[in-house]
Amino acid sequence: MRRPLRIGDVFLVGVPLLFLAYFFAYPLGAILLKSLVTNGRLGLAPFSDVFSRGTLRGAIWFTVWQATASMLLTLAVALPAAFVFARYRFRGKSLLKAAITVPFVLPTVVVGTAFLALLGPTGIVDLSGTVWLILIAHVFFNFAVVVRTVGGFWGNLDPRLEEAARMLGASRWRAFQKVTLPLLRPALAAAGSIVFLFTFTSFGVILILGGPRFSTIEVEIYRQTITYLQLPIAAALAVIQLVGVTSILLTYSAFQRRRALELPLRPSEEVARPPRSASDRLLLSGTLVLSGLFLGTPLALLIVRSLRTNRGFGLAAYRALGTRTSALFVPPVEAITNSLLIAAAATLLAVTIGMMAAAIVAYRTSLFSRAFDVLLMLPLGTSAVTIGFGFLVALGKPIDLRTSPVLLPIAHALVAIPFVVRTAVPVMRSVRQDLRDAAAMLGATPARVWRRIDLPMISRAGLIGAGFAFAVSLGEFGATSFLARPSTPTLPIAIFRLLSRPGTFPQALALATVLMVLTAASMFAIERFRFGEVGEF
Amino acid sequence: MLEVRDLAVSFEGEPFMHHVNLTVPDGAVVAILGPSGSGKSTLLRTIAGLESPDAGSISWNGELLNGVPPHARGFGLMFQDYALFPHMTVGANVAFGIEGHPQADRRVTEVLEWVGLAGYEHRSVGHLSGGEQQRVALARSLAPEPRVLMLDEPVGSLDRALRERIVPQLRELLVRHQITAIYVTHDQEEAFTISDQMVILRDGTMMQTGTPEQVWSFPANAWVAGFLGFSNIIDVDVSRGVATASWGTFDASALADGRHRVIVRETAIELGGPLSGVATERRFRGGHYQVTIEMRDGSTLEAELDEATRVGDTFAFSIDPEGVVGLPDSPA
Repeated sequence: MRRPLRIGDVFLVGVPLLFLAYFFAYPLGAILLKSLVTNGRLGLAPFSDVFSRGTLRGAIWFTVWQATASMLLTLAVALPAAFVFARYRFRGKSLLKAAITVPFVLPTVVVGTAFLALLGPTGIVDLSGTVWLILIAHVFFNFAVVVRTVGGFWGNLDPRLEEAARMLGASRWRAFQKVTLPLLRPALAAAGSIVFLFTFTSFGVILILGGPRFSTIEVEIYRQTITYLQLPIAAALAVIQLVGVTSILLTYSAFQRRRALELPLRPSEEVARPPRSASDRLLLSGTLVLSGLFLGTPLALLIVRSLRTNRGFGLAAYRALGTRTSALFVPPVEAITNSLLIAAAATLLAVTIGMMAAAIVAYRTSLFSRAFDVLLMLPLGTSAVTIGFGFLVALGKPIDLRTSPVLLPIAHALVAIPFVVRTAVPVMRSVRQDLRDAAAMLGATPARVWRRIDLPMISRAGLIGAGFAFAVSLGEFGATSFLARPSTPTLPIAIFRLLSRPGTFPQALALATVLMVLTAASMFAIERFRFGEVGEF
Repeated sequence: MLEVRDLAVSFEGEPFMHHVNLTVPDGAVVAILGPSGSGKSTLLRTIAGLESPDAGSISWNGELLNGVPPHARGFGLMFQDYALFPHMTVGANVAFGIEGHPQADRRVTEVLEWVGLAGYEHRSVGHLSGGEQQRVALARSLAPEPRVLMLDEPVGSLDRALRERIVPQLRELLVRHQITAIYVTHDQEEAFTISDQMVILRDGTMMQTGTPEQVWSFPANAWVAGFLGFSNIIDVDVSRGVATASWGTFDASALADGRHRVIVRETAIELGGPLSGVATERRFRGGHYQVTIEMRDGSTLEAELDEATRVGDTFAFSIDPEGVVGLPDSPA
């Protein structure tokens, strides 16, 4: 089925390419232009502005060090869980594995609200105003990245290597240090790069939890644009951010290539074993309980506090969502309808364009289709704030889309397309040629083969991609914060507004709970369509 | 001397192995033979300390080893797929167990010489052939001079021709250096070639122990006989040295009167004599023919004959009483 490009493919290539050109390349180009051209003259003035201001230099420095600290902390905290999931077989494992992934897919605004409830001014411990609040929220978010990346790799690593070291006289610790750790290094580096990338471009968490003291490049782009209207400086910051992100991605792919060492891998079902000794059981249950508490407490507290009223428990905060407050022009409940409509439109757009693009990547072999694959991933590496900022700068001309209702679905689709492509391509490629041959030998025409063999599998991939796109759109905050109109706020925007006004914290908790439930529902819908471990997310 | 007494082991929570007794004298090679799933590897891993027994004792020269962690037992284990460390060179793999010893380099050179890989120290393990990897794994487990070397299907991943060449070499190496070894395999020929003593295991239970000669001459029961490849296992009535089977009588002077289950060796069937049957299958085995004989009651005998017998021919044969072995587990 893999063939070189043909004339008929022009449509499949053309639509995604035009979309990316107009809604991704053009806005980025506009940002670059804005940062380099001041009052019609080419120069680096905005950049020297950035570096001459202490607060902006501070923001750049803080961005790098908080990302480094978050990465190291996440690796350390999640490693025991990665081990436990890789090496032990226990009841409810696959359910727990899905459960620990929940924080990762939750909207940043929900996580920010949950941590305000737990560790904010009215929380159990007050960490507000300290960097710990940010770091802990980042670990919470990226816990699953480490467990899945490192644990997945670890779970295929032949345990006999460690046993061989033990039989050669090495203690448990020495065997880990000399054999397991060096072999895990590529996975640790890969997981570390991803966590670094995510926290480097962290926006919602820092905006909500950082207060006025802590600001990253991402937050500064927002403030310079929305608060100070300093577009050239925001543009320069966005360019600096892009350079940073590109170098992280290059480092990551260098690590990926270095992974070439031939490893004795085994199926994870053979590697994982039930806990045997008492110390095994202690390690397993201890890790699961502590990880569960760490991941579960903020979310549980969010729900509990949203239900708390002056006199015990009740739905007062939810009822209050129907009433307009000073935080928003409309009653907060309208944000639910807005978000659902936008998510539906964004999903339709992302799946249509994503599946067209995936078909080219999966079924055609050529240098072009490989380059196309890389091109499709670029929006994933670009921060959402940059995308939102770019839309704002660029989409006034030639057609003014900045006030159009299609703007948000387009922005969200741009963020979601890489997820759709990455889900669909492996599934499309996994349709084995021998199944098609078998169908053909049973008398099926090529059209029937496609309809009965390829289509059913591909359409499931499409549904999974749709679920991702829907969840991404529901929670999207970075781009939306630039583009949402005050009269039609989305859920994350409404929550953020409610958080930033005094007195509306209960409504924020209630709306964050609603958003969490909606996101969780679309993720669980995905799990129902999933088969095997095909797909990269 | 390694002694295992009354060992019981569970596998994934289910009791699996019971009443296993094993003695490995110094310098001896003991083979543990059994089909897959019989518990050979589990037994080996329990002796190594990688699994914990439910009951029973493992001791070395009277010192109890239960609870001693694997790295402190002074035993070596060579894994079936070798488990070579992919991020280290051949030399670093072999040196792993003796790192820090003053003589480590010399010892690495020495054991690599033993296995015929002199000068391989700096090669990467990823670029070795299967046979070379096998020898690196052997050298690595020999380097720390283990008190007992355990080998888990050490030639299981090699092709047949290489296996047949390597097993006698391995035996020679173990004997020359007086290495006490436990050798796990599912292949009877390998076990016969390598061992001084063998233990036959089935479903976690010991079926028979003895020298290869004893086991071959007197299988403990019909299952062992079948597992060793004997095809003709027959129930007979013996009266005054004459055995009566369902299809005729033959001389069995070594057996006492009564009901017996016996093996008739395939080589004990000779052309010409009072018995007759129809050849239904013939396979050329290079040097001899393997012939299936159908008797008048429909039961079959397998025979190893020098001369060709055409399929469909009825022919006469006799049974050499030397080749009739009574099994202890007589039929009811």
